[in-house]
Amino acid sequence: MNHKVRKLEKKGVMHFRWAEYLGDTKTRIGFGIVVIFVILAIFAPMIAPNDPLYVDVINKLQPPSRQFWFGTDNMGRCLFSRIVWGSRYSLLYSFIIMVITILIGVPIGLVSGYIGGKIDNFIMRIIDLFMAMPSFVLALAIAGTLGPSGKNLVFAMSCVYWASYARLSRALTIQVKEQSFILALKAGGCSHTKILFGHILKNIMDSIVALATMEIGGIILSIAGFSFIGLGVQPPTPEWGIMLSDSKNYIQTCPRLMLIPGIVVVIVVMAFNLLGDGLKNGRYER
Amino acid sequence: MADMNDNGEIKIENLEIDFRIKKGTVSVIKNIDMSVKKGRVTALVGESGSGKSVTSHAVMGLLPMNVKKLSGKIWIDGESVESLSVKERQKINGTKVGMIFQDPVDSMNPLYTVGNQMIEGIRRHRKISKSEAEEKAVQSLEAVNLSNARQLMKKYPFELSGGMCQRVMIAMTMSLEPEYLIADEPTTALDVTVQKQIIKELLYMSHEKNVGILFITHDLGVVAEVADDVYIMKDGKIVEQGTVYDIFDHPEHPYTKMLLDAIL
Amino acid sequence: MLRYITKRLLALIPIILIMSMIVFGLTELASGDPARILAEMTYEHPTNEQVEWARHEYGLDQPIYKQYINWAGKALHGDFGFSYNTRRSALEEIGIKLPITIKLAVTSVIILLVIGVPLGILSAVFENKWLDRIIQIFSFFDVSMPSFWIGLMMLYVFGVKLKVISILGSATAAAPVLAAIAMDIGYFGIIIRLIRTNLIEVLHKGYIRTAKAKGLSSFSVIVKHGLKNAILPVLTRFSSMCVSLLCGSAVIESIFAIQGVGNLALVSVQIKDLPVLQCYILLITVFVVVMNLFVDILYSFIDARIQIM
Repeated sequence: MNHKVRKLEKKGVMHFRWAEYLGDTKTRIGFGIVVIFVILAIFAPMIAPNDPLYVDVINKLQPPSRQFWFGTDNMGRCLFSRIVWGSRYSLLYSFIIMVITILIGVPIGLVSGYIGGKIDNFIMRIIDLFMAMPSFVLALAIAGTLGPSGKNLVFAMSCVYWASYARLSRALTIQVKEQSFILALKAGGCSHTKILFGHILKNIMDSIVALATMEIGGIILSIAGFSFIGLGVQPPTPEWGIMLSDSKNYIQTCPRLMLIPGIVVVIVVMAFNLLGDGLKNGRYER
Repeated sequence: MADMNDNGEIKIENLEIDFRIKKGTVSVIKNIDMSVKKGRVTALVGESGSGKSVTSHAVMGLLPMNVKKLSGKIWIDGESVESLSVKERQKINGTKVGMIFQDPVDSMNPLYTVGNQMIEGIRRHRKISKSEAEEKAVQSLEAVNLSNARQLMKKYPFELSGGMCQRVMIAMTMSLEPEYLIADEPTTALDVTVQKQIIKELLYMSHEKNVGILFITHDLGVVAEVADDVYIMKDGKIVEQGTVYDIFDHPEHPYTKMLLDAIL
Repeated sequence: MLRYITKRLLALIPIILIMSMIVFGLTELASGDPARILAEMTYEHPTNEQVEWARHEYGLDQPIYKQYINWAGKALHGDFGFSYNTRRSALEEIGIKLPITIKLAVTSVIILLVIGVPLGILSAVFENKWLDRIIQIFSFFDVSMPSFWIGLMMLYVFGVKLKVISILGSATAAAPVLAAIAMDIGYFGIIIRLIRTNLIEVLHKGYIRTAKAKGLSSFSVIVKHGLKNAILPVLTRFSSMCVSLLCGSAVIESIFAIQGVGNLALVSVQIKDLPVLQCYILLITVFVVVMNLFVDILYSFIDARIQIM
């Protein structure tokens, strides 16, 4: 997380050639896969052939059939439906985390960088503190006291991830605010809020989007990981991490339960990483 | 079969170099002939992009990886060097021909002391003990008029000024006792007073130690002070050559005349 | 040097302090009445009277800041209370399992460096050639894989198919090595890319050209001159990687049934064993702090430009 922020800080204010970026094959593949899963997530109730929560122990561990495209799991639930619904949880939670962290982090960074001085120093130390904190510890602490749940996981992760956006926004704001056009605006009597949120924000927007794209793959992995160890979404919710956790006891008898969700996670994360890599290499900067 | 060219010179014959770039290839050196004789300072003059640095890199085997075509011949003391293996190249670099560069501080590793960097080169090419190598390094430093050589050995490059670094670089290169020295714009980044010192060292080496120096520069003023022979290079071609007197007294090519006009 | 260390340790005290306050504060939010839980440790089914006695006995009826000071004071002596689960002192619980996790983590780091660094170097030296592209694809896959899934796959391949390890326990020698490799998944890619990027940048620097012009050996050029400079930015990342690795051990330990400290932490979350959890969290915090300091000092030894003295 930190190194991506530092890399973007070093590059400074960027503007991307989005058209070229979206025309590249690798990006297109990633984008295509992401779109597929977003559709799965949004239209899960309609796409999933069976109820992902319907338990039917008699039918447990069935191989793939016409009714159950991926077969059933240890509780007789349709694996395919659970995978489809799982995309909803993974994507939804990561999206929420992204939105929260951006909504909190970016304004704090903007204001801090713009104001400067002692307040800025103080805020920066807080940002550094949060950036140094491993999300695992916070997830552990919150799950241990408030109880593990999807909501609490989102809360825990947001507490940690907002800092990277704050730091990036702050660094870029500091760079931008010295530029001549800002001084011109100030001289022209433009209000601070307008400068900050209208002009400066517009300039740093590309970098923020880049950071978000680069991070989201990791966030999805983290969510699955935390749910796997029981610190996040709880069963019987059909989340990929939980499905993998359930499959632990059936590796010998029914490896399918472990292989399929795992492969799905890998595909989704790879797709997002393809998107992120395209931006990371900076091949599309103006 | 190694042709027996005249000993005592670096001879470049029909050299052509192309680079691979994003949109195809670009011809950087378009068939040049040159020679650098022992005991004389040969200046290679041209503006940025003329290909003068590329020529020197070709002699040293320092060309970047995107070289597409390299044809022609380069002889050093009668041995052809344009297509040496990595190991053979490592044997002659430093010992036969050494090189110093434009930015002296950047040319040294900031994490190691001057002494360390000098000794590593000496011991690479000769089987002597660390203390003997240290002695040799100190001698070389003193030979370029650097005082407190022993203290200097313990210093890091960032602790030295640009002029001192360049002299250290000369000392470092000369401690390997090469027969030829390529100096790629050695004075461009330095103050004028320091320039004079460096030129003095180079002239000393050329005349007293019989080293053949290839002095690359864009500054004809410096050429007048240091060179014996001159090659004028433009867009990858040699447009004029001769002794320094020929060039300054009766220049023939319009480009040469233009360069001279700029300084006179 | 000593002054620097002391200065840094002093600066890091606020972090530990704040973390301890957060940790302590969270117990206030914990569901369940701590007084009752503590009473149950003595009385099986305590009456209300006994619960109130426990409340007073353990100082739970005092104002919060006082409770914090009490707790912090005890914590500094290593007294985190007793595990709700095993009745042993929390510190002791952690102490038993810590060496196992340390062994696992150290093995991970060694494997990570032994595999990652050379691949990164090769990738940089053969930039954009075949070898580099293959290594880059490997890095990309590695970064997209969940380490816990790879752990499960290992259990499947080595435990079920090849029957080299037991899927139930870590009795054999192979299991910890496999576990260590599983822990590294995701980090290989990071370290390879880090080294590749930095080494490529360094290899274009002037002193590399000088080294080649002096006829130094390839090893000297790439490792002595190149790598040492390239490693500096990697080093700053190294401490946060180690912290993440240590945290990640929890997942792998639970898969391979390794009785380490990470596994203990997960169990203590499930059963709400707060003393152990608190101890674990503070342990990690201290580790973060120490690791950062260690890397800083190491940095100053490598790079003479950093004046610590």
